[in-house]
Amino acid sequence: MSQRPEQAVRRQRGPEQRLLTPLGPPRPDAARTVVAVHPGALPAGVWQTALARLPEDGAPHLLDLGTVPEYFAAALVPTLSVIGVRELAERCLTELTEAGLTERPFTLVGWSFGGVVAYEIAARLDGQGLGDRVEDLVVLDSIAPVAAFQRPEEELRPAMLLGWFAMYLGAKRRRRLTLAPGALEGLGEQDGLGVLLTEATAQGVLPDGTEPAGLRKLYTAFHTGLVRNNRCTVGYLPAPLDRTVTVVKPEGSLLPDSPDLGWTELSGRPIRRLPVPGDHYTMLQEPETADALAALLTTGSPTR
Amino acid sequence: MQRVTAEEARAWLVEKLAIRLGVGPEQIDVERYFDEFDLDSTEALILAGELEKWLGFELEATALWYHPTIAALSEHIAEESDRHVAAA
Repeated sequence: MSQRPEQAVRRQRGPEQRLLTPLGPPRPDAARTVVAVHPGALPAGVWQTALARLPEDGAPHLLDLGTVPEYFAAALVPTLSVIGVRELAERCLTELTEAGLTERPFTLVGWSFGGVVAYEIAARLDGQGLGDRVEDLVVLDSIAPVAAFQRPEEELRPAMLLGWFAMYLGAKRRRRLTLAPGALEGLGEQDGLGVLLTEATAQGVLPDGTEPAGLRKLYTAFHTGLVRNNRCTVGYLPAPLDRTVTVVKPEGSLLPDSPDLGWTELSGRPIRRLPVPGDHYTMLQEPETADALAALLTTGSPTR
Repeated sequence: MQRVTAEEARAWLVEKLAIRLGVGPEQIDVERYFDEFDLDSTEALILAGELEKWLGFELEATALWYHPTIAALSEHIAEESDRHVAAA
């Protein structure tokens, strides 16, 4: 065995996997360019519903962080060093610049951890005197990189993580996994996974016969991915930007009790909030959410 | 812990994959890359967890990347099984 994980990942995913991908034919005359930052966890194809609803003169592009070998591999092997938010953003910005996308204003959208990277991309453009290139900055159920939300791993409660995992399982099967209120409260990982396995097989989210060991393996991978994102943001406490941040928050948000997910602290102007249906993992696939997002991206918002 | 041969590992993987995909075992090409089967990452991880339970030991997280076919993974499993049995 001579390959490092990053090399193996590159071989498996193939050289055609680029960080920046245009979704559709090139449109140099596009009225509005939209760049979406995707952090993995779900296939990049989940953006299709939302981006397909953009006006025909739009030019959607995707920055898929899962194609960054060090980022992807760190979700598999927790002991690997991880790439930080600043370097991820720098690589994204390099690709955007080389593609000529920073020559004109564009809308920058990030889902989940992708919103944090989108924020840093905007900060870097601001720092270069090119802040006007980011016409809108939109974060989709992203938790702001502020001190209040930077928690060490041991403070992440199992009930909260299992609840997120339930949403994730449902989204992978394009349906919602419904749990009774408080079904996971007070449970540890093992008992909580038992509840999820029973419900997921009963509701057709997992096939009959799925073994607890299989679900545990999936949960471990999910958890390692979350921890990876946490590791990417360690020490990243950016200053606020003089721009409006639009916060799109689903009914089933990662942090339902936080109205702004911490973004008020990083937005030098009042934030704009957009409530949408769905949960953290299904929000991009909900037609109503896609319509709301498309309307937002079409009409724009006063970012600066 | 019992030693698992490459043939046994291959048979286990073929049977489980065939059930997941709803096809006959004879339709499972052991030289095909895992990511070319109609198996998403969720199903692949669940299968990996069930495989580890059957084996009685954990595989490293990158096993599927280093050994991306049933044939290659089965050989690796046999080597790992030998190592675990020897260490037990």
